[in-house]
Amino acid sequence: MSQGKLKPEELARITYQPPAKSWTDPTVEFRKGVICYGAVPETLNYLDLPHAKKWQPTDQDWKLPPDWKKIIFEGMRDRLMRFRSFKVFMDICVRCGACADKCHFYIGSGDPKNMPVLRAELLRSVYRRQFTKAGKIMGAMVGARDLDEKVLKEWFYYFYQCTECRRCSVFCPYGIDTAEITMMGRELLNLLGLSIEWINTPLANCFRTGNHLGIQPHGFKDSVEFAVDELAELTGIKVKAPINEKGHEILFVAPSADYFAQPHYFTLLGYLALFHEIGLDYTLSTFASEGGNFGLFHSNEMMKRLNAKIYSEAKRLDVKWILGGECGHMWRVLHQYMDTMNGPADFLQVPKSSLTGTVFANAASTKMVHISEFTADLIRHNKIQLDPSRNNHWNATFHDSCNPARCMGLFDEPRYVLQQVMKNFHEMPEDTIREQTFCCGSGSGLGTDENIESRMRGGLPRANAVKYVRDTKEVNLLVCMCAIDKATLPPLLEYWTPGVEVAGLHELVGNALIMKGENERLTDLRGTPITKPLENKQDAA
Amino acid sequence: MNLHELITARRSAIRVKWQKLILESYPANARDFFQNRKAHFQNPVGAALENQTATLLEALCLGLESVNDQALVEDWIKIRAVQNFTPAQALNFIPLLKLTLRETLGSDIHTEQLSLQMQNLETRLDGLLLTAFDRYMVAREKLYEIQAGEWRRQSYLALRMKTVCNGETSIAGEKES
Repeated sequence: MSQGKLKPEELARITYQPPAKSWTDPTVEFRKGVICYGAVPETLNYLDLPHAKKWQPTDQDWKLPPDWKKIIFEGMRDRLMRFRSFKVFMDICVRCGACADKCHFYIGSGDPKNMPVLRAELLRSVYRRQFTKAGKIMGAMVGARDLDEKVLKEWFYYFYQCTECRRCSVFCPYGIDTAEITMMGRELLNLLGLSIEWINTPLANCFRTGNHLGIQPHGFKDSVEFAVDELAELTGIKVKAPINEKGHEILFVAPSADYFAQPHYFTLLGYLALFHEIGLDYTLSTFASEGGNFGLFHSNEMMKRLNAKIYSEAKRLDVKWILGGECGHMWRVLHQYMDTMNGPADFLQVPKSSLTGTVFANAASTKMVHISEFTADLIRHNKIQLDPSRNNHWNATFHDSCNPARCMGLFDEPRYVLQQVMKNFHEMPEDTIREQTFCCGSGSGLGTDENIESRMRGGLPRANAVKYVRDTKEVNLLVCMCAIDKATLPPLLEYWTPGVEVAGLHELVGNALIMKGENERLTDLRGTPITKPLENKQDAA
Repeated sequence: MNLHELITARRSAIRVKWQKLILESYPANARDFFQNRKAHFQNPVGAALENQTATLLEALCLGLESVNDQALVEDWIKIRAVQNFTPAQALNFIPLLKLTLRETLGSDIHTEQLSLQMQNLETRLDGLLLTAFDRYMVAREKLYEIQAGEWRRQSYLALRMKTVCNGETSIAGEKES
């Protein structure tokens, strides 16, 4: 552009095209609204993590230890030796691009380094330079890069723009799990004390009290008792909710948000109503008061440390098996890692429903059953009475939460339950559900408020599909079974798709459940009158 | 031929050029991706670009007066408001339309009659730009409102307990449903 007097046409073209740059250029801009706050030293110290310091990603000086490169390289070498998957994922990518346009952050932002292949390449390039002969000799010619502070900052920027949802992995012909690459990237950053506040504070809380919110046993008990009272007002039935009682058949573990947050709390009411109605012999635990495990977003070691409480409490309380509530990443940890991390749980029995006789052989090893499987089995065996018309004021669609869907294959059980407890149900487009489901854009510890802009664009593909069923099918409710979804989808929809609420599966079960001796239900579990039914809008399919 | 007819006749060329200029605000790889708008649900940004440019050009062809300005820009503005752009970058698509029209229509608008119509149209687009700025601010304020409201959802039960204990009928500050 000329430097003299600009013509009107030239004025309109100022600075809008980003300068072309190579992917190897690591420069990033840490903008407010996009990044998460750095972890504070108190939480790192509490967890015995190294290099705690007062620090923010926006600082010029990240206060790195003098030998930081050595720490990273040794950390990388250690992980390449310990985790065969990491070594394989570093070597086998052929950069075919199948994953490139599958990440919700790339779809929403257009930032090329949000392509899973390129995000992984940020780490691979350093791996090549340091650990492969070709990279050592040929350098940039084979896509190898030296590690420097800019590269380190770039890692931090992009590994905290991945929600570890694993959608990209579905499309990878080699089965590369990009989430595990992000996990390794974060582990390496942790070695220098570089983590985020929204992960580390819940970790410290969980280590201290057993749940991410830091709720102490008496607070947990108060919440459960309050829920029992509220359920009594809604149904006329005072249910029992045993806490820390030994000798019951089942330990029930849910995400702690179910006990305190909205709309999670209504799901808790649904659990309590269901357990009472079927006479479930269970107990809650104030220490295993968190199914979620932010350790998954931090490191293998932290995940193991926090997960240990579940088996520990199962043993202490002398139960036979464990039932798990509506959480997302909790199920990745429980289903894929718990058995080898903290097992074998040979003091427990293979889960068997005492009501239906069904043996959950799929959980023979972990001894932990997902509540949607359990409830689907109850309904299938006619063990509960349901009045779906009590959900007639809702016209619902179902969001497959990433981890139950892609890590467990739980597609049909929740849908079966949903279609038994309500009449008005519509699927979102098929390329946005089941194993192809789009992430909420806020998982893996990114569901905080300081990065709201990033969350909104990351959640755009999900919200866009919801918008479609809102506009074409008059959908007013998005049902999901993940605590992070329940926390982050309401703001996402408030921005993109106003008029659609979010609910848990067992909130709707609780609405429809006919309890022996109950009062006439005038409201749903939210206290919303249920006297204005919609037309039956169920899909013919 | 009046200006609306002229724009209608060259609508396709205008649209292609305008979209190309808008896409220049994205990195090169993303431009290719956003141009592929066949898969609506796999590419909501590309789909919104296609839809909003088509709607806006349609309105131009018909004369803008009778249409809802907010609807013309709403979806696209909401996307641009969360994509790391400055306000000027986010709203530049309207000045780029003026540029596109001038370059595409070329000397054909230099007749006395069309020149005046073009002047009126550009004034109208300036008004649309102001509406777009309003919508941009609404989107940004919504983000801050959402941020500020996060604690309420996270502390729901504590607020509800307080409400019940105080004998109040609804949680303070909560929207009436």
